[in-house]
Amino acid sequence: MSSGGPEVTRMVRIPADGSKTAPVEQLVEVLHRLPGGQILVTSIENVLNWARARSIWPLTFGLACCAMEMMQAMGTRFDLDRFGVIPRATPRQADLIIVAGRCTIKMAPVVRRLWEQMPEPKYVISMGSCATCGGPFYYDNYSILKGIDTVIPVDVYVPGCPPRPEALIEGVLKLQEKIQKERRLTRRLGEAAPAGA
Amino acid sequence: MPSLLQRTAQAVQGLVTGLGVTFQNLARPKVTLMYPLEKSNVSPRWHGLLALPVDTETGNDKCIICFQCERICPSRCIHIEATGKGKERVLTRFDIEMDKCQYCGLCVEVCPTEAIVFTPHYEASTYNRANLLYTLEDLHRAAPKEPVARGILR
Amino acid sequence: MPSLRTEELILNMGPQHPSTHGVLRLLVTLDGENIVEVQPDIGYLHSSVEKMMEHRNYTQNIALADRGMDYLSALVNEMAVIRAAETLAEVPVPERARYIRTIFMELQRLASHLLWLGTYGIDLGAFTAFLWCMRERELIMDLFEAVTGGRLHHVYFRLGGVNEDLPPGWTDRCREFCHYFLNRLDEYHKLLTGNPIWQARTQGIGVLTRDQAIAFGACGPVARASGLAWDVRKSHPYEVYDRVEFQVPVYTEGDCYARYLVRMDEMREATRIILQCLDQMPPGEVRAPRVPLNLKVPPGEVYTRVESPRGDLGIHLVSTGGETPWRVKIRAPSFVNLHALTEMMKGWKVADIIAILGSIDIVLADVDR
Ligand code: SF4
Ligand code: SF4
Ligand code: SF4
Repeated sequence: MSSGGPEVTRMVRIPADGSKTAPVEQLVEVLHRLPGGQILVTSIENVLNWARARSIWPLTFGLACCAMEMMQAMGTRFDLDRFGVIPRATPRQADLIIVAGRCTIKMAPVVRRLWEQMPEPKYVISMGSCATCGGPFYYDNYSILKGIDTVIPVDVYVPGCPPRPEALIEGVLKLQEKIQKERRLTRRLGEAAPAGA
Repeated sequence: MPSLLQRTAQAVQGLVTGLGVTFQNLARPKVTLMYPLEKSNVSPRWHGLLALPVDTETGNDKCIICFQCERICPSRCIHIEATGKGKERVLTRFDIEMDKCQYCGLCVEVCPTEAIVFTPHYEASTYNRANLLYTLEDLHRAAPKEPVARGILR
Repeated sequence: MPSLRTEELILNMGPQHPSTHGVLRLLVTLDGENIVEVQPDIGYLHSSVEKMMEHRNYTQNIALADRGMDYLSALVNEMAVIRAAETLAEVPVPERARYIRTIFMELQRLASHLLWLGTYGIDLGAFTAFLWCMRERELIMDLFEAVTGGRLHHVYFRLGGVNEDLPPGWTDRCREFCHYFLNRLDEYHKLLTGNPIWQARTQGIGVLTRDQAIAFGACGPVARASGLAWDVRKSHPYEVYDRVEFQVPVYTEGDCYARYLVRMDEMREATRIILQCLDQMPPGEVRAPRVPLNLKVPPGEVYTRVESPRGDLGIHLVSTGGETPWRVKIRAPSFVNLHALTEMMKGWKVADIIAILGSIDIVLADVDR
């Protein structure tokens, strides 16, 4: 302690080999080793996924024309709230970012930062041709990003210019299917195993 | 500044008017469409996914390989290649990049034989961008490549 | 008593802010709660449309004008681009097509103002307005979809007319909608106009005087709320605006409330125009024969203007006789109105930023192009 400050108590034990393991993961690891524990872990995971898939909170974030159709989807006739999709105004409370519209090179760092500010688990829907690959602004253009997936990882692509609100809802449903199949807990175990072996 | 009594009266009046409208709306028919369970009928002119439907008489599409659609496309997302000469010309490649398409309908308008048409399908979201490249086979099928998502409602 | 040491604070609003209606960044200099200065930082949606137009022929530019310019008034943009090319090439347009164009531009104005009202309602905390406006907007979208095949982007107008005739039964549907909509408009007035909270948030806020409006070149509802009776539809009539009877609403207060009232009145006038056009519309052709899609426009220069929902939309087109324009300059109404914002905001409180910004109804694609 060269600085003379108080000794720091680490809440998270860092193993000697350097790989970080959170207490929850340790618990899962222990459970996994118990007899019948694998079924338990899978059930826990299913419950978590069940909750996640039914409450995807997106960030209210519109870039261009597709945002109008996103608003229509949240409006009266299509009512995305039925799927537990309740727009949040801050990235700290959001699980999903719907990139609705074309993203310029000037805007790209902002989108990236918004995505980084969102807590895990986070998902991205790329809505419309522009967000997917530049679309109508692909050729003869110096300012539009050729696809938002050059900046942030995209889970679901929704084609259309603009996609109908129903098409966006279908994208959300597709994301729900994906979340339902996800294996977040066991995947980490699988990753940790070869490292420890 | 109006007195407290006046302001209270104003507020109550506002509340009553507002609630009146609320109850009126309760009696109106519902406008929400329960999307995955019921679907709206899109108009016959709707610009959905593009297709080259197969003609039931000839067993082939109606394309005469005139390259007009490729030339007019503002997104330049149609790619056509053909081999052979004259009547024997056959398509070797007819790709439409559905992710770049802006669904403007100019290709449908210029096509002399109405070979390329819009389908009423609009649900084509996918996990992989490469799936949005529609080849001749997909265009003949005239439907989205992937099954329509049902979400967690099974 | 020694005075408290205060200093100015620079607040950075945007580019991601739920109330900036797109990707606008505002650098707000604050003294306590009072706004000293506002600097808009634009360019977050610059899509190089003017440059792209030089590489596309006039028909392809219609598709581009839908998307690249003000996307809330796609059909008005199409009209602007087409009108420039048609004036230069002297393309004849059938009567029926002119009426159809007018009807669609006015429907587009309704759709645009409805979206504005809904989002402005959210900004000021009246969420019901959003739900109601979206409900009516869906009906307009249905009308659009039945004719043009698109909901937001249509690519419906063509050089020398429109793409397709109206489907059978559409005029009756449209008339029915207009009567329905007039009733709903009364309901909006009941919901918002007399609402004390709404009035407190908008009345007397963000005043732009008539002289300032002229100095900034403000146009559209912003100018009309400041007592400037300027409407391109009246002063330079195009299509059939000289054959229908309508009024240009003008208010002299110049505050947010006046801008709101101007738009509300415009919606009523737009409905009146649509009803008159439906009655007057002659049968016949909708598209001039022998106008090729890749029309070569003769060399020359032209400046035309149309009245978009946001104001005076001008196109300066220079052609050298090719299939593509040589240069296109777009005079965007939102861009001009955004400059007046700096003057409107001075001296108001932080909470009024949203109210004032919402009231000028900018679309960032129109500002940045
Ligand atoms: S995909 Fe079409 S509607 Fe969406 S942002 Fe791009 S141009 Fe606009
Ligand atoms: S709809 Fe328009 S953008 Fe799409 S393939 Fe046809 S011409 Fe190209
Ligand atoms: S315009 Fe029609 S006929 Fe010509 S190449 Fe295209 S699809 Fe084929």
